[in-house]
Amino acid sequence: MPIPRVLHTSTFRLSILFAAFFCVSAVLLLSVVYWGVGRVLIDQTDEHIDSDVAAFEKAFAVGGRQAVESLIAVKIGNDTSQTATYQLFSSDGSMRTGNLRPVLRLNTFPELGRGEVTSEPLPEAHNREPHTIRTRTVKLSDGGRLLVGRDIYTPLEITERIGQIVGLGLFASIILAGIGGWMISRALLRRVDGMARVSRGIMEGHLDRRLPVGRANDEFDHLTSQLNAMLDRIETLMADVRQVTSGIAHDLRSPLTRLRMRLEKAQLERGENADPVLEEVIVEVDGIRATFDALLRIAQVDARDPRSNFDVVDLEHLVQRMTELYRTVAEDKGLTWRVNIDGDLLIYADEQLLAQGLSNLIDNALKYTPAGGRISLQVSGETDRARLAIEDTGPGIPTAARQEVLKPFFRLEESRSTPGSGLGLALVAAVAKLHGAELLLADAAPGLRVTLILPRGDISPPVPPVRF
Amino acid sequence: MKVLVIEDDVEVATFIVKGLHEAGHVADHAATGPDGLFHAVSEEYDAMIVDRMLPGVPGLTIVETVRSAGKTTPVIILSALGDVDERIRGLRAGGDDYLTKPFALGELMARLDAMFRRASPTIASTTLRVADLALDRLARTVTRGERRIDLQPQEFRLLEYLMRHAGQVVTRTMLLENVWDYHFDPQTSVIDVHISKLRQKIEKGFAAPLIHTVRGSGYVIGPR
Repeated sequence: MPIPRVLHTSTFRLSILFAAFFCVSAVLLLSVVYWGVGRVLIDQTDEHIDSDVAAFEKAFAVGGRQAVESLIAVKIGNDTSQTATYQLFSSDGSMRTGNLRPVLRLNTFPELGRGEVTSEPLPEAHNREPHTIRTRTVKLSDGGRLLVGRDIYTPLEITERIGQIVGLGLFASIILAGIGGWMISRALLRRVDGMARVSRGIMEGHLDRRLPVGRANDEFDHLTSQLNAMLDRIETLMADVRQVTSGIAHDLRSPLTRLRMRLEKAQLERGENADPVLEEVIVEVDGIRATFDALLRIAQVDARDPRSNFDVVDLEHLVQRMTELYRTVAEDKGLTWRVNIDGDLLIYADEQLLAQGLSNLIDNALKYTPAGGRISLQVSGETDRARLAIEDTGPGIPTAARQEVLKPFFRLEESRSTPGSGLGLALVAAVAKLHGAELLLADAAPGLRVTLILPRGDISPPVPPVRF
Repeated sequence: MKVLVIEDDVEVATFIVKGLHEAGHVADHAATGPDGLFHAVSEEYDAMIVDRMLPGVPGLTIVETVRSAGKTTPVIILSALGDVDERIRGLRAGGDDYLTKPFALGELMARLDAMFRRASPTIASTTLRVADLALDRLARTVTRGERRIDLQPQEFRLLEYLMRHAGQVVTRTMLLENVWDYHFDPQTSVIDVHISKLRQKIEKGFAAPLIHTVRGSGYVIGPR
């Protein structure tokens, strides 16, 4: 299953980053609390122990071991919460008075100073876990040792509980960050997808579409407003272009018409013995007209609504039409004509424009391929696109010039003297663009190979973006 | 034939009218839309030549009106707007043919003649004849004199079209449109090559040439 698109969005990545940052800081903070609380509790316990030890030392100074023992008894009696531990050890290490009940038998003296001992819980205690006792052991001047301790089960519990909460909180915040990030990203993705869909519609020629502008007046709305303004401008420009080309058509054709008619009139008046110059001039005028037509056609192809004349086109049929028209001409020039058709190829396209483009390419091939050569047309296809290629054995086009030749009026140095306006390939390029097709010029070793890779297209509306 | 020319450009109109006269037709000229509409609707013509861009009433409106009045008069539309969309628009409005300016007079005349022939159908026979050349449209065979001539399918179609317009000038553009279903001009003189091949097949070895080149216009098949 492909990774959902949401995970690729920058918003999701950003929210994960934010979540990570948040978690790390939270963890740090809570760890400090955890440690701090633990520390405080232990320190408090130690203070209680210390004050007890001080009392015992005073008692010993006053009344010796006996005083200590009585004090032990008193203190144990006073210890209602049963958290205190007092234990006197004689100099040989044996336990004397006290209430220490270690889990592990003490073989020797407890170590001097602070330490911890694990002890059995009291019989009346609720839970039966062994408890940890925080201790302090001091030496008595008669050789014995006194151990004073406090049960730190509760403080330990507290810190453990805090630790659990921190862990839980961390886990929860990761989940929440993930979900939150997902939801935010999805919302944004939906918005962006909406924009992308409208853009695609616009690219396909529905120039009147506009991006939806929300009411939040946020940066997205600003962006879409600007884009809409840009589209307005583009629509205006294209309308202007159409108007200009129509205007040119009318304004320039009228004088051309009159010019041609006058020439023809002069020719007719002089009859069969007309000045041959008249004929030549008429040919030139027709040449101007052809260039003019080609230029206008390119402009129209560029400006037109792509789908206006699209229909189902059988590429095999198209190639056959070309063959019917051009094979004889090719053979007349001493060229062999070959056709390769791979499969049944229907595409959604503008047949007239494709025919014209192909015709231009064939015209070029006929013009530049020397006798004895070959022109071949090939059609093949995959599920989503079709390839239309024409190959010749002529001089080809040098790699460096391959981008330039597609521009209007460009002619290679070598062919400047041959007739032609330099617009043939420009029209092919315009037709390719209209169909969303790729136009490739390659070396056929020898010769030129021109390939049009056309999307099959279909008649239904554009495919909606992936949803989840 | 009586022809109505609706064209606001005086020079172009004069030229066309003169050409019509020389071809033996009678011509009326209207220089504005309303004037043209008036003539078109109130009189009977054998054909009309209508310019699209007219002052007052657009040419296409005139054509539509004529058609909705039930007249089947053949109409050629003239226009500076030459792209496919405009052409389709013109034909949809009821035009029978569409010529882009500038055009050769010969082209206009040839198409006019073709339209006349279409408009007055003689019984379309299954065999077309020109001099000793016979083309059987059902059997798809061609014979000249006693000899059977072998033609490729498109050569046959080309000859068929020429013979259906025997005696009339057929322009290269007309051939491209009607025999090959093309609506633009390829750069090389493709038609000439096809005609030349056809000529070879039907004229070589025979006394009289049948396909004649009309300089500046096109071709015509006929005895001459």
